[in-house]
Amino acid sequence: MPSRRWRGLLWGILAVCILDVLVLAIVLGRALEDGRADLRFSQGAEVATLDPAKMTALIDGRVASALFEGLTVVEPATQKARPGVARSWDVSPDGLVYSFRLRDDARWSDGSPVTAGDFRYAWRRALHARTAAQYNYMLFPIRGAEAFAKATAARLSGDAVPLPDVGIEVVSPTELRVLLNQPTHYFLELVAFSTYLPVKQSCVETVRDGKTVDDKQWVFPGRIVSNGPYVLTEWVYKSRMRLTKNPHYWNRDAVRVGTIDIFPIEELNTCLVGYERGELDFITAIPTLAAEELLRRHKAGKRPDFAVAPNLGTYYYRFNCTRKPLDDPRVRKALALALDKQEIVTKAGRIGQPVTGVLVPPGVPGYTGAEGLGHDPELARRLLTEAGFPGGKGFPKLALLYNTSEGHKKVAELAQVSWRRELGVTVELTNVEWKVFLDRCNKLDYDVARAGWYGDYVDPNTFLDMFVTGGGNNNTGWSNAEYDRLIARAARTLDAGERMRVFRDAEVILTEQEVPILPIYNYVGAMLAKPHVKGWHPNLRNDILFQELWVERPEAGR
Amino acid sequence: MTRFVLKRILWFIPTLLAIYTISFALLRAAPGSPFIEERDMPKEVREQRERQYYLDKPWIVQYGYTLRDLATFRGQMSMKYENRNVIHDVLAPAFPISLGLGLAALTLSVFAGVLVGIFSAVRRYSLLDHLLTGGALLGISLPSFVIASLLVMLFSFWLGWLPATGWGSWQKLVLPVVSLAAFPTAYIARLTRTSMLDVLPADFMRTARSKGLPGGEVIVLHGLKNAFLPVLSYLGPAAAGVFTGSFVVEKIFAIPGIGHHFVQSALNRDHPLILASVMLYSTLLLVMNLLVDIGYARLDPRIRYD
Repeated sequence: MPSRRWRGLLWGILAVCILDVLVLAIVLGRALEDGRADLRFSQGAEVATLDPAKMTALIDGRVASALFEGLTVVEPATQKARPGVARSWDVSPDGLVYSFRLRDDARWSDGSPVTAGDFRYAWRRALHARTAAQYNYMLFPIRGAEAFAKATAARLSGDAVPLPDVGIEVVSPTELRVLLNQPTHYFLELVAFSTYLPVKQSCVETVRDGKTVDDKQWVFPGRIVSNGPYVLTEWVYKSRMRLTKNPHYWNRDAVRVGTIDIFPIEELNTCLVGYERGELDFITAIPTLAAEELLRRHKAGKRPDFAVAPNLGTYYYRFNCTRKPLDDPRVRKALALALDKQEIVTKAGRIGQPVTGVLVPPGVPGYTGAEGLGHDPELARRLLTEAGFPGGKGFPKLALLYNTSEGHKKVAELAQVSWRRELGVTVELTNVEWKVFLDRCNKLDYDVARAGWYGDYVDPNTFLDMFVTGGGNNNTGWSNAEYDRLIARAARTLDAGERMRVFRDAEVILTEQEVPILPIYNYVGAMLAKPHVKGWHPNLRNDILFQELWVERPEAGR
Repeated sequence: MTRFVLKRILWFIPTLLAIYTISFALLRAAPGSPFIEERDMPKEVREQRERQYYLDKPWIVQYGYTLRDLATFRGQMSMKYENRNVIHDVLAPAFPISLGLGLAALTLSVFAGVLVGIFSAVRRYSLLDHLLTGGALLGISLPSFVIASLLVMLFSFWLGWLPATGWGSWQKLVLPVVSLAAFPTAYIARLTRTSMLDVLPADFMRTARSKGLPGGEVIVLHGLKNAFLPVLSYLGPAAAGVFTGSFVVEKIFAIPGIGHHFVQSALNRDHPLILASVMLYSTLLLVMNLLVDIGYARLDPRIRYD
């Protein structure tokens, strides 16, 4: 017969079971309401923020382009600006004044009109130090913008400096005039970027205890007011985000997909299984090994749902030009010439990344870049001998730094093999986690370091201005007066053809003569979309315009 | 007993304070700042962001403010997910999910583990015993991500019975709970088997049988009562393993629990989220251990806490 203690335990077990059921019931009860969206999409990680001013990630920008619309919209296929909220614009002959005429029927999702004042508010907000927007420098081509940002920062620190004027002028509710520092050839594409998207002041700011505050809660469903083709109707953190067609969007008749669910799925293999099982219609995050296999089948005509396109991004190595013997351009050139990039792409990249000798990826209209250095181990050995290290003799051991990842490790191992085989140079691999890696690159605490860069806009400037003396992303310690002069000249040059030639001259210095960096390959972007998803194009920046998609299911209900 | 429990709960305070202090010190000592990004941010932006998290203040002020924000459940904004308060918008929605998942896995592992243990002990060296012990060995040696991947391949990819991703229905619960329960189940099965083997030939068992009690009742009421003690003491560490180990399983099945934040926040150097999730886990484990100790006192007449 059971003792009292034993009965206690039984009660305990029963209690735990009841607790289980209760917790699960609560959790599942709160779970997503059913109802399948018209399109189910996953881009891997969860969106970090829906505040356009504060966005830095591509995946955030994609959602932003569904919720908000800028003065212009960049066409994914051509990467050219077309009218958005602005129906037309004029550019002054000197390229310094842009006058945008806004359409009368542009509306916020609460039905109120989108005005020039909304843009002025959003841009000044993005610049203001209180917002602490990492990408505020995207607005710096505007006259007075940088000074304004600095002044707001000084004010927060207690210095009562006057706020300078910013070249954003509201001429009328439907006309916005923007004054620039220099002719900025890509400005029309730039105003489509997330930092330039409009936000509504009355939505962002709330009045609490008589004080106006930005409580950061405005980006959530129920509060958020947006002006794009979609509105946010649900955001269950790390589970699902639901976008629904915006009934107030001026071009609503052209929006064909009524609801879109975006699922954050960090584990890429899971994402792929979900797609293969039909739980997802469209994914942009694909594990490398699977992508390689999919590419092979795609080429054999078997997987038309898979697409891969070159991206506006370059994978490269940085040389620390402040350390011996890497301060000698001959040594850097020797290392660049000796590297077998084709082998790296075949064995590490695996999805047909094009090898490159230059920093600016192909695909920038009107730009023909430098040649860069090819693969020439013979010349490499000669240069190394000239530099005083015949056969690698006396050459110190180099440390190759990368952030922990299987892909980067593979590339580094192949580089290690190449350099030992061709030059007799010994390389030691060092991997550290991401934040430590960035810290060491910033502090020039490395010999050779892995790097990658995606262009913010389609123009050589987004790549080449990185390497001016003291540039925030230079991180090589390299400095060249002629290079700085060329980049500055390109910024002042009005003639498009001439400007591209100046960039080319700069790139020759960077990748053929001085070589502070070693470009390896250009990134590619892969997507998988079920045959019933139409209207998407693989493109340079992996942009997806949700308002252009449509779904054509062969049979209803499935 | 009540005094013992109260005393233990009071002890939570210095324990948690010590954990907070050590975590805080480790954060300050770790290389790499939270505000280093791939693209260099303007100096004034960085300074403003540091100001938002008291990083411009001396460490002692930082220590105090952060502690206050945690202890009053006011929370701070996440450094990575800038619109989310780490307590209200990140951990609060995620915690019940991990708790539900963990409790379900623990319950499953106790029931399944004890059952398997009894069977293999009673039918010792039989084919059944060998199969079950072999299975338990597999469960102990295979890490949960392997088990999870195998289950996904089998049940969602090939057989197509169960969904692979997400959260929100009982079907989506099956694979994650089983993957998470695999290790503790196997461990409990082995524990139960071993202690049952000790208990089965004991005098009191023979006495019970000789009184004419049916075999099953003897095994469960007399045998298990004694054999269960090691299992109970293992439940503390098992809970720790299940709740912290859910990171992998949550990642593979795309479940929005806290496991992910616990690991990822450290890599992101998201200070507020690291501290909040460490404190949450610590509290959870302290509570689990206390429950196990109470259970022990109720079950084992030799143990008294007062």
